Amino acid sequence: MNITERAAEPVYTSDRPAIGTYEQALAHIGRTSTRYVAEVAVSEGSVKMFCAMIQDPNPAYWDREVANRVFGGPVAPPALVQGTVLPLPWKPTADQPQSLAVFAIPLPGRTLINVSTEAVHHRPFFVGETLSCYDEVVEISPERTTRLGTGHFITTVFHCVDEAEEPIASITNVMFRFGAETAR
Amino acid sequence: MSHPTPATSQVTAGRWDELAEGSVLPEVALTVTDLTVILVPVATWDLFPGHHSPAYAQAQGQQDMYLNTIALQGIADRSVTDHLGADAWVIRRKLAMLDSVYPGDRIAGSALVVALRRDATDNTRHVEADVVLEMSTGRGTALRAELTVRRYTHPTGH
Repeated sequence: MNITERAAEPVYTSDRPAIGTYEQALAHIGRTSTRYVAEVAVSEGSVKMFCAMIQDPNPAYWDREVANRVFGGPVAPPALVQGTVLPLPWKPTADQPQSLAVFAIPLPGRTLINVSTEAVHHRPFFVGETLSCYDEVVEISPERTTRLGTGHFITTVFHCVDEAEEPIASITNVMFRFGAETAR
Repeated sequence: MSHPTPATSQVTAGRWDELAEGSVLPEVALTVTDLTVILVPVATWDLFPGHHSPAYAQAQGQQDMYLNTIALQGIADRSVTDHLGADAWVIRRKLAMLDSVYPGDRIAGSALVVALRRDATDNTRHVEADVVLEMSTGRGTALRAELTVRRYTHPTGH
């Protein structure tokens, strides 16, 4: 096994986003992350576990014959698309850390929550496909106060693409970054 | 730890012909347990601690760990796919999350058809519907959604 040292570049994640000021954050509008290739292909196990979680009885996800007849293959739920490109919590190598642009925005808020999302699904995706993703920062609001606290709304677009870099889904997401203290 | 309850709605494929603007689809509901929320990182690889750590969630101002966006998207999709069958494919979904969904909640709601488009030459196969959806828990409205669902036609002609 080829064990390499971890990358020196900081990797910002949902539970450890970059910290800074609103003025610093504004410089991130328009930035795009590097493309991240999913660790594993979409699996039948992932599809069934997702459907079990939300008790989705759709036969397209449980009956291979139905999926073949309707979609031409073992289709995955559109809602799962972002769940096919999230990173592992640990790897023996530092070859490909996921570093989304949304978490690299320096803001005072140390925690976050999604507020709204709008997804456009360009085509079905299938068990066996390996998806890639990247995101771009569209907008950062001035400071706002909600029932959860004071912070900033961040609008990003998350792109999922296939191995030919053709689009599978485009997801516009609004996230609230808030809280002066780290939530633990 | 409790296990998920059985699905609360039946799949009744092939209701496309009956769809009309103003149609209300049967209610979809999910009783959320500790296990439902713990399955979020298992099923979606979303490791944000608000979805598996009650202590972290409470420090955020939440009452407990809560479902993630991906799970809520899937529940919203069920409001149409449970009733329209395996060929119902959601092509657009706009979701506003107004309240978190915690273990112990029952989230439920019904989709209302607000627009329907049928192909004049083949109006049983080429159908697209816009629906609006509001889902609530015992505390009030948890999410509002707009979805566009299309009757999927495989490019090979199926």
